[in-house]
Amino acid sequence: MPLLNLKQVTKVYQQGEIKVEALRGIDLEIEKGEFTTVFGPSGSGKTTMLNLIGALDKPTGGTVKINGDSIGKLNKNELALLRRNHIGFIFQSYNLIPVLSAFENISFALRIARKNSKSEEKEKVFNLLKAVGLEGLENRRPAELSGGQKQRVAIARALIKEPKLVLADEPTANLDSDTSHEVMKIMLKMNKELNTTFIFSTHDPLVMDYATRLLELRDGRISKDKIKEPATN
Amino acid sequence: MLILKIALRNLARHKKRTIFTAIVIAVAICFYVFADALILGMMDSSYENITEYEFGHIQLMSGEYWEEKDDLPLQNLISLEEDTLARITDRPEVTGYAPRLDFSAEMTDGRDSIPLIGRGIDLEQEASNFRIKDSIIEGSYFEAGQPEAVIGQSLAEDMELEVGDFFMLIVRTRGEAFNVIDLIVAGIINTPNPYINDNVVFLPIDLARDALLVEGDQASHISLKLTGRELAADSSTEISELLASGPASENYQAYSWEEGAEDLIVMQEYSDMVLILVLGVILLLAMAGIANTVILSVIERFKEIGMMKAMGMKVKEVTFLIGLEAAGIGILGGILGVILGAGAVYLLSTYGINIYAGMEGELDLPISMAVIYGSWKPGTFIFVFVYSVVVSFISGLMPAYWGAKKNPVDILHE
Repeated sequence: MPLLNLKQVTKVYQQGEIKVEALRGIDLEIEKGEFTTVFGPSGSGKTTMLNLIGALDKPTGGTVKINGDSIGKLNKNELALLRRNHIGFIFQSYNLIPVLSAFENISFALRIARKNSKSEEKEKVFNLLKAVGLEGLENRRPAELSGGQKQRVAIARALIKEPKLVLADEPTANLDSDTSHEVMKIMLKMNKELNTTFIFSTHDPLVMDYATRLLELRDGRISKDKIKEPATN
Repeated sequence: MLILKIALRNLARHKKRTIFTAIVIAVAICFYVFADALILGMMDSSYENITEYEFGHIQLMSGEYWEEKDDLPLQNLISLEEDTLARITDRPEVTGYAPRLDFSAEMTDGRDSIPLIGRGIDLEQEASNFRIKDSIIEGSYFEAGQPEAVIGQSLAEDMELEVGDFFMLIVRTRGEAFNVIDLIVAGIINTPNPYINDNVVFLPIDLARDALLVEGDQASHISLKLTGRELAADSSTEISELLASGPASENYQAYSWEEGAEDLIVMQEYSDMVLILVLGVILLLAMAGIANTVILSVIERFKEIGMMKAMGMKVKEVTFLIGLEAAGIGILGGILGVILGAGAVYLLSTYGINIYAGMEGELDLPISMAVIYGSWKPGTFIFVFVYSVVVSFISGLMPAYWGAKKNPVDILHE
């Protein structure tokens, strides 16, 4: 069974009297462990599709199934629980909580998920900080970290609860190329070690190079769906 | 608790905003506890005036006399048998008693006249149990068997009387005939009770009985003193039961000082209500400030809120987190207010305040005209602290909910 199954998914937004069709019949299956990139011009529907896959929004038509469960039937609290336990997010602007340290930002995700005891939590967070190369920086607040370091904290935060799926919206947009490479390598490593599915929404060719599947969206439809070898292992 | 950490650190992040809002709450609390302590002090002082100079803790009288006591009738007087009186005065909480005979009179020195209340008192019992003797500022307490009187300072000034001067009391006897009592001013008193100072002449009860043609040992009432005024209500109930075992025709009852000071107690309850109302209004204004602080905080943290929701926090959880910050402001304001208030009450209870300066004689109430000292009431501090925290939390909930309800899709991708 695929991790994600989208069938004839449509999403229509009402903007005053105008209806905007952001997605026009998406059919898509994504297996566990995929490292997929969704790209396309602005307004193609990438962000909308990611919002639906991430259970942040519900489709207007069609079905979105995550691990066999259709999100269309879930209420807001149930969607929140789904995100809490199974989905991690990484954003372009990191969206870290500024008053928490790196350690606390990561453990906050775990506290919300309520998966571990405090001692287990501490060990997990430290291990993940080490895995993303932030050992020794756990007590620093976001204002004291570089862009790359912040994005690594965001990655760790997304992964700490061992989600089935991580959605990354333009994760390298605010990073230089060297840092972008570092960040992508970490995510690729996590993908291989944890078999976590990654889906990226991006314009960055560097990110596409790392992907093993490329999905092009145009005008709310999938115009290209290509499996490829990653340019960098 | 991480949520608590986030709330506290966010408050610290915007120190000026937090402190300013907290100060508004602190001022409201300080005002409330100060005013409460002042009113309590006034009431305590007034109650003491009533129990020490006027009513005592309990008065024994007939039910019929109680109904008409303001008219100072000479009918339905009380006279207890010795053993009945002994059973009452032997009670552990009773420390003393004093019979009094109250009557209407007109004081005249031959030129001027003034209506007032005459009070015949048992010299020894009155001196042992009440403070008239201690309040003498000129002359002395009268002696048994002498046609002497003790009058208030205001009365003396109005009638231009000094110690040793003669005056007359024109009275109506029990048979409704006029009579005159010739008296000499033995002493002038100044009590904290303006009512006593302005309106009452004290004279020996035997002299009063003779002039009014009151037989035997009858009195208008017998005042009892207790070990504490808080015992009066229960004690009066029990004494009434004891008196009820006497002849039905006598209908003697015991009345606590609270029954005699109903107006004053109603006034205190009214003052308490007004004070709570004023506090409510001030805190409402503070609520507007808190809500504004929370709205600003929410707007600044839309993306953070969106991220929390993306991570799986529910609306109510996000609302609670933000609401905690509002409660934090309330706690800070509450602590500041309690400290300021405690300082103000300490000063008030140590040095007092004369709020009636210049108004002596203008208020015909047994309110103390002396310097008012505040009274501590720990319950007030606890109440107002909890109240401010709850009000702060509630005032933060609406803007918190507004922020928490925002669609994460909209705010994360702005």
